[in-house]
Amino acid sequence: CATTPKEPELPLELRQTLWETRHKALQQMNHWQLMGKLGLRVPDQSGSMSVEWLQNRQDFTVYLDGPLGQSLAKIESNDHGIVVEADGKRYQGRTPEALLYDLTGWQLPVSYLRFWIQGVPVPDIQETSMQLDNEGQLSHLKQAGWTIDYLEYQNQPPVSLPGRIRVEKGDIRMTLVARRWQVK
Amino acid sequence: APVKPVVAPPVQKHDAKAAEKLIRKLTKIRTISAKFKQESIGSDGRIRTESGSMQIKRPGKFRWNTASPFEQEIVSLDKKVWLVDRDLQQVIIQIQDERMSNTPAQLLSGNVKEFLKDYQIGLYRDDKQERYTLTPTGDSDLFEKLDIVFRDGVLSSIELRDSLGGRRRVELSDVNVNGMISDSDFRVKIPKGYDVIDQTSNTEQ
Repeated sequence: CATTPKEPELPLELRQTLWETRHKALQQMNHWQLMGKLGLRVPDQSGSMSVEWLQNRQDFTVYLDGPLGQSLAKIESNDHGIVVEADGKRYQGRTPEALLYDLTGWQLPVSYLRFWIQGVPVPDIQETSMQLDNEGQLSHLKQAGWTIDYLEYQNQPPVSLPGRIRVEKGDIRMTLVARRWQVK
Repeated sequence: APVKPVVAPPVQKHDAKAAEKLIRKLTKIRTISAKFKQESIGSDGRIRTESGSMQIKRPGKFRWNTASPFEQEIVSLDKKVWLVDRDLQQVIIQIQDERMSNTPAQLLSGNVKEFLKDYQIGLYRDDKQERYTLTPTGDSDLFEKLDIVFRDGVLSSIELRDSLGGRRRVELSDVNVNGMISDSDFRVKIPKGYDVIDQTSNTEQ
């Protein structure tokens, strides 16, 4: 079948101005919810789980549920600190990454995913390299040793949001598919 | 009047007759197919519902297809479990193990006597239902309490309370017992382009 010809790339300045307006809109997105699926490919602990991410300004709550509806982990981050619940145990303090790893063995860059999921880079990380598509959306991102590919976007007024993301670092590979976005 | 001593909650005593009856009832189910609606209630009250269809054939074969909110198939055949995720376009193949334990499916596809020997069984009966309650004798981390409910003699729901205070209720409808289900219904056709993660031969592809 004829492969659709790749759209000619718009000039960089145009894509960047599109990105700047888009980035401002995304930064004002303070209350959002995402329901999706997270595939984790790690040498001996691959799995797939459903994700529910609730973000309110700086605070977030993330539910990870197993394929049979069983609850795997709950991560809560607010100004009281961070709490991770899994396997009937509850831990506080430290970073969500460290807690989640201790409890489940998964290396999920939770604090970074919060930005990557929205289609924006984590702020104030020096070596960040970005590529933009013709709509001024992030198509490829490299930050803190992680590589993020934005494979699909969903148009979600007021601004389009990622539909399928691949996040990789070393032998860790994650695929996140967004099933439902809710932006207040 | 003397103060009534505080009585510990009645430890369920084992009703051997009920256990026999339950073993007979479950073993009689050679195959079962049904639609399911599952409601999970987290210890924090968070509610999630899933629905789909399931097919089970003794020994050891089951298919648990979730249609909403996500499309996903869990199929067990010859001690292996295939987890097909349409959204992720990913298939994980694992050896059937405790962690992946889908209690309702395991109960209906596994060896009933074997499964039930670790539980105290009680029976509550009224004109509408027969409710068998299983409580583990050891400290099983599978669940704290499991109810198996029959209505008009047909398996109608399985309710489970896990050790984290969460509850899951699987309600069955359009139940068809001992109908013809061929083994080929439990073969998984892996769609083209899917990412296959085979953990059974513990050599990652």
